[in-house]
Amino acid sequence: MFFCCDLCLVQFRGLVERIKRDTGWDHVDELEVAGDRRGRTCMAKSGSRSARFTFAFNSEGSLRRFGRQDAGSGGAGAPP
Amino acid sequence: MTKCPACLVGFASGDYPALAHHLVDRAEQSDSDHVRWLNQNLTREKTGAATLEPMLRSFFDLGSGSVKAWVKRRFIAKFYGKVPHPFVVALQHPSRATLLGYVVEHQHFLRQWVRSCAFIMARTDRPEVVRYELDNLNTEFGGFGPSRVAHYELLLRMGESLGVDRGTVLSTPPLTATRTAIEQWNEMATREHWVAVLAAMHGLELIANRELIRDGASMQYFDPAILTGPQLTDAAKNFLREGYEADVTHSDEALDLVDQFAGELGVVEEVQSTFLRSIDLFDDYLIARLERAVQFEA
Repeated sequence: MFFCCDLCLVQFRGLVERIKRDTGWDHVDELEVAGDRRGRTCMAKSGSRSARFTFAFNSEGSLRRFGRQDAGSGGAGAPP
Repeated sequence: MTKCPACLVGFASGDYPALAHHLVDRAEQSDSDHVRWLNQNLTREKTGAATLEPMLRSFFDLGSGSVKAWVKRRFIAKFYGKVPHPFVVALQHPSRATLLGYVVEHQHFLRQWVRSCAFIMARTDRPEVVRYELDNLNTEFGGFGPSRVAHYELLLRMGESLGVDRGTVLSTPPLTATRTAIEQWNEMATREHWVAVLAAMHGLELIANRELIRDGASMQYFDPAILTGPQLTDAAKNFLREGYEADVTHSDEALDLVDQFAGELGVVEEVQSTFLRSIDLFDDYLIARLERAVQFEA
């Protein structure tokens, strides 16, 4: 994977870990991210499962806001 | 002297080829401050120096306008554009948590503010600038006696009215982004030209300049109706009202001085880049206020 800077790497790692923790998934296959530094959304996929989130980072790359975009989507799949 | 807006390293005046090469070089080394500046101001695409150079010239070009107008335009784009800064959005009708986040982080900002303004006073040879800073320092920190206390005191009173005593506020260290910002503002104040520091610091007061709406800002710092409505404590209203009433004059007067002296002393480029670095720090500092606010959410 290519990251433009270390901040983006920190953000990516933190986001993936948070998604796994929130969903109970042990891996994330795909992330589609939209938005900008004021706020982002993403569709995360793991196998046949998917979930949408909204989030924002602070200046050190840590998540300062994170939540499900649609509480009814993507969380139904049981962790393996 | 042309300066990099991400790290303030200097180049010969007008040497945009050198600045472009510098930005490309630092981006290729994945330096986050430089990558961020390029992404947020010029392009998210990987771009070579030859393509970047005309983009930089255009970005820094004053056109037929003044330095003051350019500063306002850049400030509005960053904080009051189509997607305003999240702290400004939160402050429209602020919660107790938002205001307490403001109190706890802003005390650190104001204490650094005193030092930055003192550096300007120490390093200028213009009496009108000294007079401006003396008035500003007393307005923000020293006060004019019991009937007209300083913003710093009003800030602490706002915190007390919301249930957090000043002992707790004053003993709380800053969040990382706040600490980084005040360290870099201090460094800026000691090292950069005093006219550039004048722009870098007092340009930040544009955040509360309600006249910015006329220049295209998408909203004001807060909905002025909260100053008369029932939602806020009197102390909170007193604090916000002071900025609402003072910061039009504060920022305009300072930027008029910047206009005058930047041209006279030939430091327009220094002013522009130092201001740009300052507003990047301010952007992060305002996010820190929101992060702090989370600690006060029920």
